[in-house]
Amino acid sequence: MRWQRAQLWWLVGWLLLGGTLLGKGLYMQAKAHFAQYLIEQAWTKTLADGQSHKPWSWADTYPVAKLSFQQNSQVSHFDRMASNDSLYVLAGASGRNLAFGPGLVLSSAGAGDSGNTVIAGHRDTHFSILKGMTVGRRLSLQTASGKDILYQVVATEVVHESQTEFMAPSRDDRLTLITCYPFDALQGGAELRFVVQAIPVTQTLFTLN
Amino acid sequence: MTTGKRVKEVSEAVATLVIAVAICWCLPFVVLASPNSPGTLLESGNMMSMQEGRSLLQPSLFDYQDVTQGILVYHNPNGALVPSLPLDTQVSMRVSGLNNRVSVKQIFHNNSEFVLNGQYLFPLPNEAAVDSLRLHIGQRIIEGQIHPRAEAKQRFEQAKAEGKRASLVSQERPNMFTTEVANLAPGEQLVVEISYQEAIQYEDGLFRLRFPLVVAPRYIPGNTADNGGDNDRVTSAQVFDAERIVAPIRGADGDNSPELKADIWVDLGEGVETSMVESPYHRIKLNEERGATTVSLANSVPANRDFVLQWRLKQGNSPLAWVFNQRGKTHQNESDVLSQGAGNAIEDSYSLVMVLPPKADNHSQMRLPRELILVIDTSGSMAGDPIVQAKNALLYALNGLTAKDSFNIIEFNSQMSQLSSGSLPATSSNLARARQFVNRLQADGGTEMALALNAALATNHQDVTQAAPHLRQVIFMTDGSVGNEQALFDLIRYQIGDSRLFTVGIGSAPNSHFMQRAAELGRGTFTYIGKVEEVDEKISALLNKIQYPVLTDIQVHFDDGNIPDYWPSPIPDLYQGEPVLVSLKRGQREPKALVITGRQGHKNWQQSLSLMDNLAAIPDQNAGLDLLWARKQIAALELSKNGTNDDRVKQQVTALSLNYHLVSAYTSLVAVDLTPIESNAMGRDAVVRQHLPLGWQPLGILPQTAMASRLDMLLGAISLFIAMLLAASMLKQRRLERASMLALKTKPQV
Repeated sequence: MRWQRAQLWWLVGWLLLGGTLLGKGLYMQAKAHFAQYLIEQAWTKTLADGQSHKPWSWADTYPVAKLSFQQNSQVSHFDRMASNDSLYVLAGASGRNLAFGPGLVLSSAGAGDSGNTVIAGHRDTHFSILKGMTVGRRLSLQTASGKDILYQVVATEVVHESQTEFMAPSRDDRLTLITCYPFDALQGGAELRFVVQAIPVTQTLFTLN
Repeated sequence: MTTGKRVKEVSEAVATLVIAVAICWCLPFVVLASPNSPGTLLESGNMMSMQEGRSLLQPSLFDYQDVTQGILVYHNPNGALVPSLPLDTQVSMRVSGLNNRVSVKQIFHNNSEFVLNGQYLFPLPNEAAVDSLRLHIGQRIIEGQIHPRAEAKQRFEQAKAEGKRASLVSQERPNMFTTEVANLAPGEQLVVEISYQEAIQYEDGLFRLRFPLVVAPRYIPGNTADNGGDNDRVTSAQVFDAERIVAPIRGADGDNSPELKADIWVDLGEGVETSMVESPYHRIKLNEERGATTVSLANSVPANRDFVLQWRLKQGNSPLAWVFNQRGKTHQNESDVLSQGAGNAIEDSYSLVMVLPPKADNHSQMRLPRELILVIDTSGSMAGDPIVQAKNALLYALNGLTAKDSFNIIEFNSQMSQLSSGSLPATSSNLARARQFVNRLQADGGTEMALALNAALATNHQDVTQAAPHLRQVIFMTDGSVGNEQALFDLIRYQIGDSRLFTVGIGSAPNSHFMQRAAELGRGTFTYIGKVEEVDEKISALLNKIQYPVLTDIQVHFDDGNIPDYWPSPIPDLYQGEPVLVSLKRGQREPKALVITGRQGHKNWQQSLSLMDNLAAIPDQNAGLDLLWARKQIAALELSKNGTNDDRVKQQVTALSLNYHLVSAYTSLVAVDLTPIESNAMGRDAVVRQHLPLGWQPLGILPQTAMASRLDMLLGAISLFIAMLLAASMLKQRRLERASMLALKTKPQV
C-alpha cells in the first residue's frame, strides 16, 4: 500500500513538473506570438497620429518601427507562414521587451535616422525568420512617420557576443539585425550571434504589397 | 473508488492532449532545424570573406607574426593589436589635520621581448593638486619638470625617439590623468611616482577621504565612431578629446589580461578614535603605534572601485576651527631662489582655514514647502547594482514628502521622459503613480544629460505654488559617466535660477569631478552612494540637510577691512554640518587676524580668528598649503570660462601652474633619463587595460537573444510522458491485484 502511495506521489510530481515546464515554454511562445497583435494596434495608432502608443496600459515600451521581410522568389513551404509576417519593433532591447517583439537597441540610431540602426530579436520566436536570410534579400522598415525604407541584405555573419563593433555607430546608413546562433539550439544563453547587415536600396521603384 | 478512477482517466486524457499539442508545436522547429536548409552553407562562406576583409583593413601596428613567445595582446576598438601592459599601484597617504599628502606609485612591468611604450589612463581625486613626478629606474630617481603641455609632450617624444626612458603625466580632466612611459626595456620595471596634495573632507565631525581606482567608461555624446573605414578613431562633435578619455577595458571572464592590483597605506596621525575608522567598500587593517594610527588594505585589491576611508577624532579633539600656516612655496623656482639670494626675501604665507559654524536652531527655521524634482540616470552605464541603488533612493526620497510638497520625476538615457509635464502635489494617488513609474525604470541607452538638466531646471512659472514661498530642489542621481562635462556646467550655470541642484553619485566609481562642480554651480551639495545598504541612511541625511542652507552669503576679510587673496571665491552656501574651508595667501605686511561673516537664517554670524595661533598641534601640517591655494584658484578660473575669455584663462592657469609646479589642463610633468637604453629589441606601443568598475555589466556583449522555451517544452513533454507511463504501470498493477484478489475470494467457494 505504501508502495502505491509513493507511486501516486511520483505521478503527481512528474505531472506537475511536466505541466509547469510545458506551460512555461508554451507561454513564452504564445506571448511572443499574441503580443504582436496588440502591438499592431498600437502601431496603427502611431501611424495615424505620429505619437508613441503603448500596446497595453502597463507596458513600458512602444512600437517604433515595422519590419517586413520580402518573400523569396521561390518560397519553400515552411517559409510561407513566416514570410507573410511583419514584425513590430519595440523601443529598447531589454530581455523583457524581447519577449514581446524584436527590440531596437536604444544606443543605436533610431528607425529612419541616419547611422546604424540595430534591432535584436529572439532566435526561437520572432527572429527565427532570420535563419533563411541570404545576401540580396530585401527588408522593409516602416518608420513612425509612415515612410517605408527598403533595405538589401549585404552580409550575414556568425560572430561572438563580444564583437560589439556591429552595434557601433556608423557614418553610413545601415540596418543590423542580431539574433542568437545556432538557431536550432535548445537551451538559452548562447555565446554566438547571427548578424544580418543591410543597406538602404536607393531606387524606390519597388512597392511593398 | 469510482470517482478516483474517473479523475485518473480525465487527467490522463488531458496529459495526452497536452503532449500531442507540444509535439505539434515542436515538429515545425525540428524540421526547420534540419542541417540542409539553404542558410547554413552560405553563412560560413560569408564569414570567411568578411574576416579577410577585416584583416586587410587593420593598420599594421602589431602583427601576430611578431609574437614568438607569450605576450598578452588585445584588439583595441579600432581592430589594431596592442599588447597589454601589467601594472601595480601603490598608494601611500599621510594625513595631518585637514591636509593629505599622497604618493601614487605606478609600477610598470615589461614581460615581453619588445621595448614597450606604455600608456595608462587613471583617476585621481577631483581636487588633487598634482605637483610632483619621479621616475625610478632601479636605484636612480629622475625628478619631473613642469612644462606647458605641448612642450612637455615634445620633450617626451624626443626622448622616446632617442631611445631614452621617459615619463609624462598629463591631465585629461581634473580627476582623470594619463601616464605615458617610453622605452621600457624587456624584463625591466619602471616606477612612476606621482604626488599630490588634497584637503580632507570634514563634515559633522567625520573626516572622509576618497581615492578612485578606476575611470568609469564615459558616454560621449555626438559620437561618430566608425568601424571598417580607414579613419578608425573615436571622434565627437561635442567632446573634442573623446579619444583620450576612453580607457581600454579588460574583457569579461576568460580574458587573461593582467589584473591591476592596488595597495593602499594611510597614516592618519595621532588622536584618531580607532573604533571609528571605517572603510565601507574594502577590508582594512588597523595598526596603532605610539598613539599614531595607520590603516592599510587587508590585501591588495583589484582596481575596480573607489576606496573610501572615514574616521573621527577622539572625544574632545573634534575641532570647531582650524588654521594651518606655511611660509614660502613647496616648489621653489628660479626667480624665488634669486630673490632669496639677494636678501630681500619677501616670502608669502599660505593658510588653510576651517571654521565650523554653530548648529542652526531647528525651531527657528520655518519648514518651507518644497518642490522636489528627482532626476534619475537610466543610461546603460547604470545597469546592474547602480540602477537598483538609484531606484531605492528615489523611493526613499518619495517617502520623505509631506502633503504641502510637490514633486516630479525625470528619467533620462538617450531620451528624456517625465512623470508629468509639471510638478504634482504629493497626494497619495500621485505618489502611488510615481512609485509605479520608478518600478518600471530600467537602464539602457546613452547618457544625454543635457536633456534632463534642461527639463529639471526649467521653472514652471504658472505653477500653483508660485504665490507661496517654496524651495525648488533638484536631486540628480547619476554616475556622471559623461565626457562633455564643460558643456553641462555651462548649462547649469545659465539655467539654475532659484533652483538648487543636489547631486547624488551612484555606483562604485562615480565621476566625482562632475558631481562636485555641478553641485557647486547649482548651489547644492553632493552625496555618494556606493552600495544598496547605504541608500536609506544617505538619502534621509540628505533630505534633512537640504531643508535650508545654514549659512549663506559668506565673506572673508582681514580685521582691517581688506580682502585677502582667498579661494574658493565666492564661498558656496553651507548646509548643516559643513565647515567653511578657505585657502588664502597673505603677504608679510598684511594683518594676521581674519574675520569670517555670513547670514544664518535672519541673523548675522561672525567669527574672527588669528592666523598666527595654530589651534591644533599637528606635526608636518605645513606642507603643500600653497598647492591647495593654487589648485583652488585654477578650479575657479576654469569655472569662469565663458567662451570669450578662454585664451586669458588659459594664460592665467598656465602661469599659475608653472609657478606652483602643478599639472593642469595646460601643463604637464615630464621626466627624461639622460642615457639611452641598451636594447636592440623592436619598439611597440602598449596600453594598460583597466578593470570595469565593480557592478558594471560587461560592455561588449551583443544583446542576449536566446530563450529556453523549446527546451522547456521538450523537457515538459518528456516528463509528462514519464508520468503517463507511470500511470499506465500503476493501473496495470492495480488491475492485476484486483484480479488476484478476486481469484482468492472466489477460490474457497468452489
